[in-house]
Amino acid sequence: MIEAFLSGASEVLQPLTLLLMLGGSIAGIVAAAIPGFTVTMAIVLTLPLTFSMPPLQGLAVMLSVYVGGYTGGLVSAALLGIPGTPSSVATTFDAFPMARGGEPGRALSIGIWASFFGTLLSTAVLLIAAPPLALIAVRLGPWEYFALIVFALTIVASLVGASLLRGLIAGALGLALATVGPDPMMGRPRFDFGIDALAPGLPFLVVLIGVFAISQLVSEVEDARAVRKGVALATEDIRFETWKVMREVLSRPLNLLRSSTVGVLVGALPGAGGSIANLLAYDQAKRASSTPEAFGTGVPDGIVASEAGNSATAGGGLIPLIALGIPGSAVDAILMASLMVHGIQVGPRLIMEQPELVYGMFVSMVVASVLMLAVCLSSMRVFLKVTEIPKWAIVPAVMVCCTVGSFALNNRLSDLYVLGFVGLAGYVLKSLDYPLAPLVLGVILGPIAETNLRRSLMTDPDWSAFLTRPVSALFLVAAVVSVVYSVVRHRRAVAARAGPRREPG
Amino acid sequence: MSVPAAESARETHRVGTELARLVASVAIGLAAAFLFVDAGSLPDSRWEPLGAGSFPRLVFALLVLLAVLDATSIVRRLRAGPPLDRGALAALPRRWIVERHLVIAIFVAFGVYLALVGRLGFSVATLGFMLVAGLSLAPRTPRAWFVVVTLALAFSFGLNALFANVFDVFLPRARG
Repeated sequence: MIEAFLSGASEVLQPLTLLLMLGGSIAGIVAAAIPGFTVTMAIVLTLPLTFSMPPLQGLAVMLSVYVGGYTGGLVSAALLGIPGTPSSVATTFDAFPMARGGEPGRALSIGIWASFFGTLLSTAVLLIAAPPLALIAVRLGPWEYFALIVFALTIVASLVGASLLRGLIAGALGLALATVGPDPMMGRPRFDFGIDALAPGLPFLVVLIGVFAISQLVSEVEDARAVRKGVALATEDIRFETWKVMREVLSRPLNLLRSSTVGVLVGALPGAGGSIANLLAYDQAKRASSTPEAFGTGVPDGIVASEAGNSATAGGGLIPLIALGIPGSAVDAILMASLMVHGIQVGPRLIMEQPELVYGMFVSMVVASVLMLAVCLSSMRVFLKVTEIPKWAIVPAVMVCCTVGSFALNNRLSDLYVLGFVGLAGYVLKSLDYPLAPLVLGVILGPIAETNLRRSLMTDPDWSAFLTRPVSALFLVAAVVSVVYSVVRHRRAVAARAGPRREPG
Repeated sequence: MSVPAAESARETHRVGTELARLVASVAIGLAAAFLFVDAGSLPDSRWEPLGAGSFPRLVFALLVLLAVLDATSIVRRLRAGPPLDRGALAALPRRWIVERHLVIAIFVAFGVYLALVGRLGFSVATLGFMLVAGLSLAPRTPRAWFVVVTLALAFSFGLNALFANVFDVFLPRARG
């Protein structure tokens, strides 16, 4: 084992490999920082460039893009309030208010350090627990997946903001939007009303960009006088306190550990991934906090949870890939394809037949996270320049980036019409104080829930199987507890807010 | 503004927002009810107990229920509040439009841009959008206008060239 580890490490630590990894890290960060461009797209674009490289070198470069990409989404989430990737939705909840509150440097630094530690922790777990965790993950059937998704949907109850009903409506709207287009089992068209733009369904990323990016960008220009004066996104002096922030992140070991564990576990489940992990980790951190009401106002714990959670899915996703040859996400499937291009069969025998490759991948993950940290910390000043650009210059430019990102997903013009309508609907909902995060969660989880519900009933039409299978029952009980807990807490918070107002009268 | 006037303006704004939410809830509820009925016409499957319409019906039923609950609670809150100042309320939509004229301008420009991008091609349509949006938002100074034009060129022809030559991704080209 040690020999294989050293052999893999020596290959990864070659100067040329490190240089290429640095390029990959920068590419991943920049791509993910642009709304509409995902980690998956960055990796797809990198894949052909790695064909001429030795297998481990190619993988190391792609892993750098992967790790960099999970952090890059943080930049636009913190500075513009727009999640650069679906995995940074929860980052906007606290990083953006913190940045708007005059501390953009702190918000970015906390996210970067949390991402770094999240990746390191997930790599450690990957090293130790890959085979047993992968075995557990593949034993879960559609009943367990459906129950898990029901549990994940209950997060809606804690993301609702001021009104529980409006939050639930937003979540249900997300589920409803996900039903447009071909049904996920038989491909029958649904609710397209003969409109071409609706026939393929509403692409999740276009909905995400419309709901978060377009509505946020347009609301930036509400104050016409300030916009024409040339007001920038952040007006205060920007301070960097890198090491102080590192200590601040490390002073939250429980949050880091819990969020990274959520990330690893969600990453290890095929089909889940960073887009769910960041919300789940945020939700868990909020529930565990003694001041949950402060979440959403710019607290460090919220940023740490989201960024550690999404970055840890990178290591988690490699668990089923390495141990069983099952890609957990689109990115893992591309990594697998790159190995297959080199004639390497991924599966349980990989770690026995090519241990230096597998250990090399582990070392690559660590090196990639160090490179990501170095790139982010050294280029933070450049990223932060974004906040100094006047709104009149940045708003149209980012809207064009959103358009390009939406088009480049499927090369479909009709996706752009969807973007326009969803952007407008997102702005209206935002103006009426409907929370947008539950809507996005509904769109992500809807198809997974429907597929697994129908698959489980196809296998066994008995509904009681959801309660008789222990893991499924456990998730469902957890879902009920989660809802009850959230409702009780929400009522208490409403009563506490109403209390001081009533006193004077 | 005196304290009672400010209080009255706040109350009018609150009532206006509640009425807008009521309209939204009713619209969502009606749309969900229509789609619930429409989902019933989706064919059942021979291979599985749940057909293509079952899950959507579940979701739309939930949405109808939530919309009804929300609308009821809004009506209850409106009834519990002080009597409505109909004149002030009638003026609210106009004020809302005036306050958000830039938002409306940007949405219109963006909508026209998205509609024309397939016909004019990415570069020309983007150049037009960036110029219109930039010039409507920017201060009226030569320096700002120079920045707007430079950005418009960079994000239209520049971005198109970058995608085509570096990433081999081709953005929409002009038709005909």
